[in-house]
Amino acid sequence: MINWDNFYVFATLSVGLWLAGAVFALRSSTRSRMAVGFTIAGIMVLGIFIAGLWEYLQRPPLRTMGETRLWYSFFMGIAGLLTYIRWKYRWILSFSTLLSTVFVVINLLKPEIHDQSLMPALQSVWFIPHVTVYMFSYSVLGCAFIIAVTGLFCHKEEYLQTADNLVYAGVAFLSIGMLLGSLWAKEAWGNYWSWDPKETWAVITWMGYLIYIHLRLFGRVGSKSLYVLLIFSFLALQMCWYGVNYLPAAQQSIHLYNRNN
Amino acid sequence: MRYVYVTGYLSLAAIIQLLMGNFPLSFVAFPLNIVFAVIWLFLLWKLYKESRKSAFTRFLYSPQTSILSIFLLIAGSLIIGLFPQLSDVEAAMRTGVWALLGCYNFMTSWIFIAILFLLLSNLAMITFHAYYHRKTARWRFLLNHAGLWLALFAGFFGSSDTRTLRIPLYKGEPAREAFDMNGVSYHLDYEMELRSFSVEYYPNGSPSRFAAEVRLGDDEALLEVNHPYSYRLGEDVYLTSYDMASGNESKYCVLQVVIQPWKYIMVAGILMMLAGAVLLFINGPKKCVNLKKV
Repeated sequence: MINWDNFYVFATLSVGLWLAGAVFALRSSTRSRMAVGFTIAGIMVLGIFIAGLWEYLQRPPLRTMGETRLWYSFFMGIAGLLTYIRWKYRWILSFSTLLSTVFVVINLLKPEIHDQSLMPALQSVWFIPHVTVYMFSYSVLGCAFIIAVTGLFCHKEEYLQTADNLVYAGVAFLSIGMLLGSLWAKEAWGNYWSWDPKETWAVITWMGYLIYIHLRLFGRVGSKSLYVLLIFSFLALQMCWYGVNYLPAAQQSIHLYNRNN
Repeated sequence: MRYVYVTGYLSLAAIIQLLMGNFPLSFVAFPLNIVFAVIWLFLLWKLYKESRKSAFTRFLYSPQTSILSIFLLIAGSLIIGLFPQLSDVEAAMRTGVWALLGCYNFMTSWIFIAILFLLLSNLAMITFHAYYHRKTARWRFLLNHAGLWLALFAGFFGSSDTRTLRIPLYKGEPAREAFDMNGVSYHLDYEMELRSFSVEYYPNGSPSRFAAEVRLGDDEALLEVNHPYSYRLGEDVYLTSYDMASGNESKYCVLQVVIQPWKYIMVAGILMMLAGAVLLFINGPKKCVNLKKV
């Protein structure tokens, strides 16, 4: 019987397989078959757990925060693998493994979340794609942030090229997340865009990265300014992700799901 | 020089804001918004076709203007993000320089609208230019830029035709009087009636699902959060709240009617941008490197 009680077995197994895949990818200059194989195995193990849990619960495991975290991990594995196969970025698997593992570990350490209820506003087909796509873009842009900080101290031209790759992928997902969110907002609240604090900070983040893209194409600015722009955009992203919860101007936000109002 | 012009342009917007207060959105309701948009686009197109070499046209479609207008929009969004945004009535009660500049309802401030207008003019110009001259990643460029233009345009011009109304609906009391966000009452041309209402709970007592069976004119509809009812073209009915303390015994629920005739144009823009974002991911930055010379 597959349920949360034996999640640790599946969790350890899939994280182990993903780590092995990530190591193979890092050590190989071309696409590594071993990396692909291990990552697929890790995804399948988690997939079997989700299917088993579905069977056990007699409903799709999409309701509680713990259940949605399972899907984050699962999708993160798939997204990382697809990116690796298509573009052969050797670092991508390490990064997707790290992010998947974080969600798996939260599920292991905080079992009480499995019973927590999901408020009606979040019960929508848009919930999972909106959030997972955003999570993926946050992780990719987090990587661009690390490169920007490194480049600020010791600039290399290839850092900016890597940052370009990351920012294009990150902005693509950021846009998809935002646009899916706007379609969802119309269904839930009646308007695509209402300048709610979370939306405002999301668009500030988005435009920060758009300026980076346009400056790289047309601007004559130094590498320092570009790195600083990436860092500021990432700070805006933090503001959007959780910073608005603490912002005095944002206490009326409709996006605050962490308290009952 | 560009910066001098833009500073002058924004100062003008600030002066109008100080003299007249926020932009009168209701003034540009249908059909005036369409008329204005057609004239505006026609002028931009004329400028592009007939006096491409003029300094003003070059300013409007230069990439530097794009960068500048995105930067200004970030500045404007920061004001929206850092000042609490209030309803028109509440904002009118604030005093001080920030209130005079419209920072408490900045979305309709002349300054913010001037920034949007600059960005949209630039977006329209570069879309014309790309349509005729762009060689690489042409579809991606057009989908992203024209999509953004459509979504912003419909959001901006459409907001004067958009109505968000709330109706408190009591069991057994059909109603047709709705209220907008400032408390002004409107009469709907159809009647609403609450047939039944139910709430389901989680074991911990928080609501898991609430639904209302209602009659809307001649239609019967089941309303739930995330499941609005499309009453007619551009008009949707939502279930927003109920008497939380009474739960299943709630005597009323609150419905929301959103009349947004421009929503189809917004969706078209959003879908175009979605396609553009997918292309952005698939093709990545490599194909754009050659564009530095354009």
